Amino acid sequence: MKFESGEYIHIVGTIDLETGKGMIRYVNRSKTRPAMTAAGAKRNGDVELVAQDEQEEVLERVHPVLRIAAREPGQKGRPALIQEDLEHNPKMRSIVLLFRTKEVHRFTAGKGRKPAAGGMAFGLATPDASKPHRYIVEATGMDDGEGVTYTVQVMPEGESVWHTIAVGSPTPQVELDADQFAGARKAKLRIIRSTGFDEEIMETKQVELGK
Amino acid sequence: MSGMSEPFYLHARAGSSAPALGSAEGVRVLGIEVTQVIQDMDHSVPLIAGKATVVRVYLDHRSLASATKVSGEISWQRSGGSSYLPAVNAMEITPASPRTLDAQRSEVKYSMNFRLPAKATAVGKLRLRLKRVFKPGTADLPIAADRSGVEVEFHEAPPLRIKVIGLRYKKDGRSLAPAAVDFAYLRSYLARAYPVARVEWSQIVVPADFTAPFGTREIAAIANAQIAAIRSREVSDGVDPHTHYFGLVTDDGGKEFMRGLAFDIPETPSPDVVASAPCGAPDGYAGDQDESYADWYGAHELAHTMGRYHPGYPRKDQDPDDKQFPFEDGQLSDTTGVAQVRFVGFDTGDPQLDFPMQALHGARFHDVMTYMENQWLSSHTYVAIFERLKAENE
Repeated sequence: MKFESGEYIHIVGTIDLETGKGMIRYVNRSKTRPAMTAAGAKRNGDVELVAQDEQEEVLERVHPVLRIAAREPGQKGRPALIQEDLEHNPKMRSIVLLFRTKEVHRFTAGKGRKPAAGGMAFGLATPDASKPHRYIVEATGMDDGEGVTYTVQVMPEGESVWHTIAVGSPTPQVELDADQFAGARKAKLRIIRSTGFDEEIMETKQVELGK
Repeated sequence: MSGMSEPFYLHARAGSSAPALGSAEGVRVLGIEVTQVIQDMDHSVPLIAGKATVVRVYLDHRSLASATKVSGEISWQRSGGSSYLPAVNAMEITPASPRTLDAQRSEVKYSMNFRLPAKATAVGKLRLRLKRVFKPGTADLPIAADRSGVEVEFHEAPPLRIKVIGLRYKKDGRSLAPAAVDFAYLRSYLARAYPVARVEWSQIVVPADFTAPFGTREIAAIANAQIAAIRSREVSDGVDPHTHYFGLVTDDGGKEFMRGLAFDIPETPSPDVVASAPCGAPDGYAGDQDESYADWYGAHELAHTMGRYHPGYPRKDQDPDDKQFPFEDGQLSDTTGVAQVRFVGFDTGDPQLDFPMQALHGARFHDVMTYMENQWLSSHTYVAIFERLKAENE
């Protein structure tokens, strides 16, 4: 099986192929996508993603890859997951989900000001003394502008991969259970700010897990 | 001192004698079966190199004149000289009511069993022969030559790469997440039942993008969307793109049951297809009496992401989308109107979770893609997943 590397926009959404109800749930940058052949990809002509610029001019239209669940007896509706990687275009400002040419949902690039250099601070706080290793990632100086989302990742001591504990979150405040990182007394923590089409690692910090 | 008996070690043991033969040619072998998960006597199911393997030897009870217990040794050989391996048990022989091959395959205690060492299960051919049979503590019995040896082949298999994400949700001020036993059971089942020698496992618990109460199927869709977004992020950061991502959601003691959902049953290799399953204590759910149903339920949903459909059992609960499923009532093998059951499942066990080695026979066990009780992998599902994993890694 082959994979392609590049700069992409990964779109995850859900849609009911019978009712047409759906939404775009996550839009984030990605660097890898499966190299799908035309035969291998299920694309439904009723569903379309349209990438637009600031003036709502169409940059790209695609019938996205749909992942359709196995039908259960008595099931109502026909749920499907949209998973699509579009090539990144710096002019992108919104993604529109259409069902049978009607707009179902629109994702618009996050707006807001990035914190000034050094204007952001984050760390771990313990909310409950009875659970000493259950932390809350606290961040101040963040810009929670509309549509701006955060990915929070942790790399425990002794590991070399980033574990994602929140993606597409409206704030970087997220609960972290340090007990699941066996043997680790510290970890690297990082927060990635995303407008959907652009992202930036705000800061990476080493934290003590207090174990 | 008077009134006290002497210690046992001061007396010579009363010896016993070898049992009398019921056949002039010696102990007859009905067959030798080399099994890992599911197998027939022709060894049509591929053996996976490096996977836990048990050799089961079946004897003709009429070879002996009276009831007894016997154990034995096999020799195994690749290139070079033979190595010898003792049985892990003694099997009961009952000539007055001799157990058939079918009966011996149905229970692990009715066969003479040998756990192969790792060196014996490397890629390539392996020759096995029953070398000794004896009542423990007595002289060897002669062995009839017919069917006392077998040659099998072990095949390379890619690992199963999987990251399991427990989604922790809020309910009435509580945080609810899968328990350690749920992760452990799923991991063990995949290692024992899937056609892999190695599970490259990673797990984490993260806050869910949904809260309780559940009530509609949309929860599973939201869970899978979150899993897909996490996957994309982590593969972009360097995680192997062949890694399957899978969600687990606790059922809060049955009060919040999220029906499992795989988004897609891909016709071509697609490790980016995600799925989620509920987990919790089964309390007899689908015949399961142990500590978690995350194992077979998770294996079912994961198998969907590898192209497996429902075969349609029970008829009222599943559409028969897998038209190729070959066995009656979703079983591991046909049992009605057959002279001999062809396929028998085998669980090599997991001592860390106190799962014993056991044979999974006949009408009691069903394929993991059904909604029947007591789920394991049939040859049909096992071989298909093996082929899909190989294709994913090409």
